[in-house]
Amino acid sequence: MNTQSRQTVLRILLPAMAIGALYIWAIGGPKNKETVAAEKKLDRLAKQVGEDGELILVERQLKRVKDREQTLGQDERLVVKETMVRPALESTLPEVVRELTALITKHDLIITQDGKPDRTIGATLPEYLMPIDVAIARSVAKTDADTPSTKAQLWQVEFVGTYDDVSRLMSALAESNLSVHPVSLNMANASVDSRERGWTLLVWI
Amino acid sequence: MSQPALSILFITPDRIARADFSGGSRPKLRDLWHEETAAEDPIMATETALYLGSKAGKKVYVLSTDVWTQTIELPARSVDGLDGEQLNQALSFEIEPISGISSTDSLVGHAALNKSGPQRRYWVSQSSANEVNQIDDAIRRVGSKLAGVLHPAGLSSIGGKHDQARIELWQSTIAGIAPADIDVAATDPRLTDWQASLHEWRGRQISSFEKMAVSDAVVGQNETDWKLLSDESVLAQWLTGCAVALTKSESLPLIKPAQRAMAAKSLGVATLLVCAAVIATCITHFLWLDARRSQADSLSKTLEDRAKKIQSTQKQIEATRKKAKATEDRIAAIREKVEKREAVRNAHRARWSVLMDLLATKSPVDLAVQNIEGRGYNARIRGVCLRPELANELAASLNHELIRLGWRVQPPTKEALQLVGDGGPWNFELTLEDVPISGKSGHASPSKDAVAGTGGVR
Repeated sequence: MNTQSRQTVLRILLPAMAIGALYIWAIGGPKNKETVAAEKKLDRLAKQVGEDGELILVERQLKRVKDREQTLGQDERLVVKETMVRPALESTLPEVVRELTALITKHDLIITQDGKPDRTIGATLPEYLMPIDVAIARSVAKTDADTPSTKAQLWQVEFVGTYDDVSRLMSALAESNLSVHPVSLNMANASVDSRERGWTLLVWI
Repeated sequence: MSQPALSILFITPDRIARADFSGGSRPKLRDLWHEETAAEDPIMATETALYLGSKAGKKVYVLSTDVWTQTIELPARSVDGLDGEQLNQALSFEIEPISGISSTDSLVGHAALNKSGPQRRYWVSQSSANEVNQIDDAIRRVGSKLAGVLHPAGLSSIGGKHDQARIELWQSTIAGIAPADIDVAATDPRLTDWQASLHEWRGRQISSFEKMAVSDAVVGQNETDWKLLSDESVLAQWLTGCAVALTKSESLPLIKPAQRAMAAKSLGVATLLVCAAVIATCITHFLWLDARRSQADSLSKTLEDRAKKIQSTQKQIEATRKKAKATEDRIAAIREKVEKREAVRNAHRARWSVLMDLLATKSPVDLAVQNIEGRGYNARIRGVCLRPELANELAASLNHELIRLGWRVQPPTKEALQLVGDGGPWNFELTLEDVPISGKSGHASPSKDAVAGTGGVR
């Protein structure tokens, strides 16, 4: 290439080279830096976050934990519900009274009177007959139709019989599954000519 | 009529001719014009030849006897390693004393005749650069392009066979061509004993010669069998052979016009085009970078969203685990509470039975229980005994067994009835106070077998 050719080529190429250099300096270079930075950030994130599988694993883990939590919640309700089996349902009160009466008479005792007592001195509902967790018990009672009522009531039975018979009655009552919880037992003075005496049994049913 | 692909302008001091050819590897003669002339200026002769017919061919070769041509030998060491342009410059210096044309103001064409040995043979053409440029200008003006300028000697035989053994006589040049050899001398045949060379060639046992001359003016009067280019048919055949040789780009000492500086307008257009190409490249590059950036940003956002989701899910897992743990703890607490309550409930259900058993079995002989009175969950036992310590003994016995069932037996109160000498008998009263039961120790049914006694209920 002779000098003239070289000059011609330079005259053609120099403006283009200037444009190229200006582009690289003002636009291409900064843009390239931005792009490289964005791609580095992407690489870093890709290393940190990993593939879609990780999210799926975490979501599965969450589902398992939620299922476990739900199961535990149901267990809790069941446990609380179990504590509410006593006293009996109101609808079964007559049945309990009938069984109690049968148990008394079975021990050769003569019932003279029974019914709700006129007064309940100091006979507050014992803790073991109260709901174990009022909030959960209310929730259980709201949602479960067969949940036993927490309303217990006092029942008083007056009868006549010997000490031994009453002792056996109380033993039988303790060992029975009857939803009857003795509160107090009054024993009257014995009569002179008989071993029998009057008794008053107060229970929660 | 379309423009011919190729035109050859043949210029001698006394004749000019123009032959137009079709394109292709074997050009065919389309038209031939020739006329005698006395023009001494090759430029003028060229312009005249260009206008002999209609528009000249796209490419134009000028075969001019005004061009100096000769074969020369040079030491190999002086030319080895030189490229084409450098070799032309070296040759122009070498031939300057022979041709008389200034090396600085001439253009040279060469063809290498051998490529080995201590000597290199070249077929060289030389012409004034100014002349070639003016010829170039004239050809450009008619819209054609000068492909090259050279002396017609040695270019082709009459029959078109390039390596046909022959001797050519031109106004100032003699050429002897043998197969694979050519010898060209820039000398006037009228002043040279070229016949001696002919005898020498015959000595090489070359059987047939073609004898060609530009005109009968350069051939001696006693010579016969010469083919003269002044004959139109001979000229046509020879020019066709020249066209073939030029088209095949055979090794010929073609002088090419110097490259012209590009016109300002063309230069501007070329500059604009290159700039446009660079700008287009820059835009493409920018768009490519932008696309990469956008893609990276988009993927980064996706990954960031995924990372946030994972983080959020992990927080949910942690919170749910805590909730589950709390529920587990509550269940455990409820179960423990239930266990305690069961124990208390069983104790309360059993304690009346146990009390009655104890009163029946643990009461001393001289002590009688007269009545029992329940006051809420408390109880009061009244009775009579012959000695006051008996009530104490009963209280101790009862307390020992009943404390686990939620009754604490208070020390008895006693009152002497003063019916006998020691003050006795005594009325006593025991109070069983309801107290909380420890769930673990408050077992429901103390063994009834463990209690034994001789007292009783009266």
